[in-house]
Amino acid sequence: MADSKLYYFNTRGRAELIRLLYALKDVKFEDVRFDDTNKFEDFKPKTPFGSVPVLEVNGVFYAQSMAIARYVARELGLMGSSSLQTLKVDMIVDAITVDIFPLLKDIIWGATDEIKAAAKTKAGEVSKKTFTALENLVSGDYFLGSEVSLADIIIFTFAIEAMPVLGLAIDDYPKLAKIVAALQENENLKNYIANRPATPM
Amino acid sequence: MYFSRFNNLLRYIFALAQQDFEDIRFGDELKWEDYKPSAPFGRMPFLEVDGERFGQNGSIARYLANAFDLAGATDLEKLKADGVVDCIQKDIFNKFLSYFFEKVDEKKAIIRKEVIETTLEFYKKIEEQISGENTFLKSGLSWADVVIYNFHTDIYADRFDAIDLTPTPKLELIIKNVAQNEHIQNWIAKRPSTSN
Repeated sequence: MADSKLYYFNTRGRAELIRLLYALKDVKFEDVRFDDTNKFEDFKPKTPFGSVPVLEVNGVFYAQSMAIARYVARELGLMGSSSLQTLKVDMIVDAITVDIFPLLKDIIWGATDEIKAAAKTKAGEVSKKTFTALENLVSGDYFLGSEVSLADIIIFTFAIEAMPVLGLAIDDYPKLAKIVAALQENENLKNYIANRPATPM
Repeated sequence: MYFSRFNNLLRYIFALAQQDFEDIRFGDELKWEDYKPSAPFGRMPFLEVDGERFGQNGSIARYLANAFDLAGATDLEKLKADGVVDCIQKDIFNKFLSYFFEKVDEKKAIIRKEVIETTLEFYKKIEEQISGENTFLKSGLSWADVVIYNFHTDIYADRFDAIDLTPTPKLELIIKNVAQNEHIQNWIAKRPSTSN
């Protein structure tokens, strides 16, 4: 695949999912992180929509974290082997990123304690419904059976980053917990996580 | 059919591809409550293919676009289309949601202005990304064009002050290209009329 350059802040945030995909398959990419000399403000005018992460391929900039994640996953063979498998992966990814992610923002950044508490309750309810549905979609070791996909990676990052914020436990969903445990044992991911820059989020 | 205008996207894609589909609309005769337990994630729309059900509007749209050769000619074109779709369905649409969910009148008036500003700002950015003469992608018509048309015509229009497309002429061409497409026009002429 073409050499790619990922541009983002020095945080996990919306770029970590993409970094994990490359790590899982042990594929090199340039992981550009903004700092005092290389500033986001200077880069922003070059971005398609004013936001990051941005992936540069063959000199062209592409935006939107989930669009990039899907592209990278496809290049790395992590989107299933048929169009219906890809649809299954896509809908699982949407269930997390479209239905739940937006609710997390108010839990952390809500203007008042009441807003934060209400957001946490709502996110908890939606997550429980979603995770119950996801548990039923696991076909074997992973969502697609024996083949790992973007859907498994997104559950993995969600379990580690978001579930604690929501006060939920992945162990309540045994098949999903098994996926997370398997990925926690994956050598490539273990190495990457042990060596990545330590940042608060 | 709940929020019908928001759900035109999938039907436009089918129409464009001249593909038949069973357009099942819930309402008085067909009760959503009966289907909800077996719908993936308990929500509509969902697509049934060979007896298997798939949910999530955006994913279904992407699947159909790929099936009907409306997704882009290369993986990088697909990435580009996905990017602009997310820009509209997430970045712009999130502002819409804040407006719809705001209950306090003074705050609502402020957010209303922000919706119009946000839309204008992103329209200008999208304009710079357009690679075709009257299509978003260089290779031709794709679901990105349909998403743009659907947003401008069904979701934004009638709810907010009309946007002057003079500063974004290529975007205007995209919207016209979809609007004037005969398959889209045929579909619009024969679809059931709904109030929203």
